[in-house]
Amino acid sequence: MDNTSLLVTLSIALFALGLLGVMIRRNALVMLMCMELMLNGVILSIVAFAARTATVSGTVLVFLVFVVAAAEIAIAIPIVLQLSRRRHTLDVSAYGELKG
Amino acid sequence: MNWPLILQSMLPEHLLLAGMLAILGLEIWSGRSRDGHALAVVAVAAAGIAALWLHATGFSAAPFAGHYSVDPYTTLPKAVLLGLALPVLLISRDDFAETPYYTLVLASLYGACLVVSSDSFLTLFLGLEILSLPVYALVVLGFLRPQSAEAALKYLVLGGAATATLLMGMSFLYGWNGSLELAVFGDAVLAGEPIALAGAALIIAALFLKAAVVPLHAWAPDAYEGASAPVTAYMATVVKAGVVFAALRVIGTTTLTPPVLGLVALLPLVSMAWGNLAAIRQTSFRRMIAYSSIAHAGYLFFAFLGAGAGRWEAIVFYVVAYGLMNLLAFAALPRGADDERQDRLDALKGLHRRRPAAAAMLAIAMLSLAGLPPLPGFVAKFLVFRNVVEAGHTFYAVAGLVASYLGLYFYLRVIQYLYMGEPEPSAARGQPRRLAFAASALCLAPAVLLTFFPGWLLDRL
Repeated sequence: MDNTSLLVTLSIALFALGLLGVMIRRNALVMLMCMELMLNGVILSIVAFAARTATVSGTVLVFLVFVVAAAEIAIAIPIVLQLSRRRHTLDVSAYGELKG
Repeated sequence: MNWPLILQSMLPEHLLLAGMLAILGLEIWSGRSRDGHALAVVAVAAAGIAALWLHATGFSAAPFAGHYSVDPYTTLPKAVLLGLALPVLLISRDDFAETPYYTLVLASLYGACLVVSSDSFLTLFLGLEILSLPVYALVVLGFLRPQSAEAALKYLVLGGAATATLLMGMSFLYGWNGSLELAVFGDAVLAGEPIALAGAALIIAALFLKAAVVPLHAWAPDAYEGASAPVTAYMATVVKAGVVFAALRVIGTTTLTPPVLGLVALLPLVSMAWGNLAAIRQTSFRRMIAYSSIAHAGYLFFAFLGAGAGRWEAIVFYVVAYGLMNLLAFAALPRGADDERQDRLDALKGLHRRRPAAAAMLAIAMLSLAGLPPLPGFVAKFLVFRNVVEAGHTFYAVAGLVASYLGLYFYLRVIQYLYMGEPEPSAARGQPRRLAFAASALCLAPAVLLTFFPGWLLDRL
């Protein structure tokens, strides 16, 4: 196994772990962390591919992903704060007013 | 850098940006909360007119080669999106008077325009994020009910997962080909190598999640119900249309082949059936619209089964017909004493006695969304299914038609409420609002035009 495929395997594992967490964890903050884990998996795979193909556009994309991830969290944290003030818990299953 | 060219080709975007900055600047400068409504309406109308003007003159240019280009195939969707946003802004006056709402809507529209013009996955990704990030905030902005924040969190987490999925797909295609151009998607589907196919499938799954196609639809009913009415109208029309135009940009005229074809045929089919069935047992108007929009996402993605040339026509016509009718329903919806009561389907009982014009407009909207002739919704569905049949997928077309007519039941139930139920004695006898009236006229006039002369629009596509 060469370096690229090792890194890409690792990135897929991170991505899958994050996806699993988003689906099964019930703590709002842990769900957000898992979402970040998915994005970090993606960043690793883009960087690995950018190094292998020796192109710049992938590296530029990585910086944009950083910015977007930060913006997403900047919107998410106030929403989580609103929720925890109202309900005094971060457990998503305790909210349960919405049916899904 | 060719500044005049950039200025002209990005004119709709620049006008939106100018409106956004003007609203913010005025508030900062005057030092108090201001009403941004008029400025926002002017900015969106100006941007829409600019897009139409670029379309009419057949303008085409690539100010940022390989990333952003403008031609008649991009200016028309921009004009459609901005045109659909105008009635949304008109009906938001009563719910939102403060500045943040209008800034967020303009920012989101900027993203929608960027998506439509994107040539590379880089621009597409940025556009989709600028389109959806303000909407997370919009859902929670009104805070009319305790559920709003939960709905926004659910939407945000699943939206973030969709973004990560899209990026993973992009990175696979990038690793396969070393390029971020949108054209790589078509090559990947045709090449049939595992990594390329995985990338294509991930990108399609992400677009399905953003457009709420079953089984990736869980966020939509909650977000639509938790948000206030104008925001729901915005999500159901402009955001959905933006995502479908993004899919059109990515898939383009590529003929889909089996592994990917199965994904694009089966999930939308399930989406139509499930959306229409689940809508039947809803008691909230916005939840019902959410399930209806899940079904409509299915029809829209079904258009990709057809041949490359017919897709553009079918999708643009469908988006226009569906968007206008959805907005007509929201504009005609009477105001209740509070948000909870206004949203109940029971509140529509006997509306015919109280407000015959509003009842008639709601009825027209429901019949068109159900796809009954001669309304535009029928022509739109006909175009989609005709293309699917012509491409040789008769089985999918028949199954889709069966699933689509499951939806008749709940659309007709609304009409039954409107015309047959007895009004509750406590029902508010709200007066029709001037701006809502303008918004419904703005939707009704083109809808009537499309009912009698569908060929007029089709000739121009």
